[in-house]
Amino acid sequence: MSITLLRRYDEWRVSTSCAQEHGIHGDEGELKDLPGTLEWQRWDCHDEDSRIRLTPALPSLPVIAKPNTSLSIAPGGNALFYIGIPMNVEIHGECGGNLRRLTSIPSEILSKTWHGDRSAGEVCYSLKTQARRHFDASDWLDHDVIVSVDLHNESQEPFEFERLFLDLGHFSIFTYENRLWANACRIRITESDEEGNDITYDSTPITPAESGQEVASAREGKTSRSTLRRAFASVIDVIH
Amino acid sequence: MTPLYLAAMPQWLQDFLATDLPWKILGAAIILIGGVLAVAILSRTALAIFGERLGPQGTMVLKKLIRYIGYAFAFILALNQMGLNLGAILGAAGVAGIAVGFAAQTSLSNIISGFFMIGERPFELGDIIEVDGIAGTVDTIGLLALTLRTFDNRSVRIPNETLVKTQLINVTRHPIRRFNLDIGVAYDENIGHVLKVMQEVAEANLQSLNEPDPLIIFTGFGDSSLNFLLGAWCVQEDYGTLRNTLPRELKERFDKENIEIPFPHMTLAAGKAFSPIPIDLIREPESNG
Repeated sequence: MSITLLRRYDEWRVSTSCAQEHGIHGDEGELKDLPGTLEWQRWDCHDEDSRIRLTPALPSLPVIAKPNTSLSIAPGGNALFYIGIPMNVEIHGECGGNLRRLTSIPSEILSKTWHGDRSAGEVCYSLKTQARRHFDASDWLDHDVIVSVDLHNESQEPFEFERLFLDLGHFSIFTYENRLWANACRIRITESDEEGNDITYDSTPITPAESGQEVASAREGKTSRSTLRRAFASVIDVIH
Repeated sequence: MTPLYLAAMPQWLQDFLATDLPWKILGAAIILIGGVLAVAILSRTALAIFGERLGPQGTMVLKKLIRYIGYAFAFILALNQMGLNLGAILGAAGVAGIAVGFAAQTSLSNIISGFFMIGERPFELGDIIEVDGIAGTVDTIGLLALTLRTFDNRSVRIPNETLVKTQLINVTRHPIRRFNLDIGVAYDENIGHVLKVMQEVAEANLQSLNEPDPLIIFTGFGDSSLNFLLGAWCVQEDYGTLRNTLPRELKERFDKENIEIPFPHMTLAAGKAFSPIPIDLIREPESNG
């Protein structure tokens, strides 16, 4: 995928394309080298506006991560999973002296899925994951934001990990050794009812990235222990 | 002794004030003003209690109903205050009501049906519904009829009575919807392979939801084809796009996989199937010599 940014005629122009289809080769070139077939999105700005900023972001919809193969966690056991979520590229352009969010471009188009029953629920992105148990840098693509999920089964029954609803609003993005990380998340499963479960968001990523530098803050703000219904719902969804 | 302020008035005004008519008019005015206020308070209270349950259209109808009945009641009381014979008026109104009732049976039926629809709320403003084969977006819900805006931007008025009597399909009631695509492939094709390809196409489509799972089934042996059904779920907003993209993507993939979508065809056989059709030569070919 190729993102082309152009500042021309008092406007910002952004085009997303498959570079090879449009015959774009290399990162350098002149205006006349751009193919005429590019489709542009345009934003008005002032003559003196010139700053542009690209930041990583998590997808706008919650994600349902499904491990390729399910894993049973024994009562009292815990399991740490690493899940890679393809990042979005957020483009901020200077408009009237202030940086304004122009657009958000997904690095990978994810298919959609439904969280809830057929009468009520919400649309999410679907993500098939290896749900790795150990971190190995070579397992991940450059545009993946690595989310660590630590599941603690404190119930009396074995827990079948088949799917995980991840509301991404409380995750910040950190950079550590050229990798993108999200703050760690821990889910405690005590009973199979809503009140008996808990989800905790750490303020930093898991080791070895705990000293990573924050590059994008959480959309819905940071929270150490979520009491949101949606957060509990994520645990319920893990259970069912 | 006449007070000074009365003495300054013209004689006709003095005569008028000497009767009880001014007091009746004043009483009637107070009743009318009080009636308007009472209707406003009653209307607000009723809306606060029932508003959420009735929805925007039901609220509007309830508001009108309270207003009309309240105003009529206040008007009758005001007339009574003026000393008019209400018994005669109500009697005449009753006779007129019977006559009007006979003449306006259909309208009354529509109004009563409208109340049922408001109570039941099978649809809301903006929903897409289908009635008697007419599909469109609900534009207005009135006491007598509903107005649908069809997809080619025509306005169709459907009497409430029809809505009660006939089958009504609410297309957008639920947030997700399934698009069903029937497709047939040639008898030469492998059913398992076709099912796998259809599954992959459904999974790859950007509008098709992974959950609920797409419905992919072999529906039977057709006249000219093996028939399949692909039912892909999507959110309501994506339905139009899915309808366009899924058949196209399936066709492209079938082409890629060399899966044939056959034309309807007919095999002629005589007697035993697949035996050659016997041909009788009824004249010797003419010899060239």
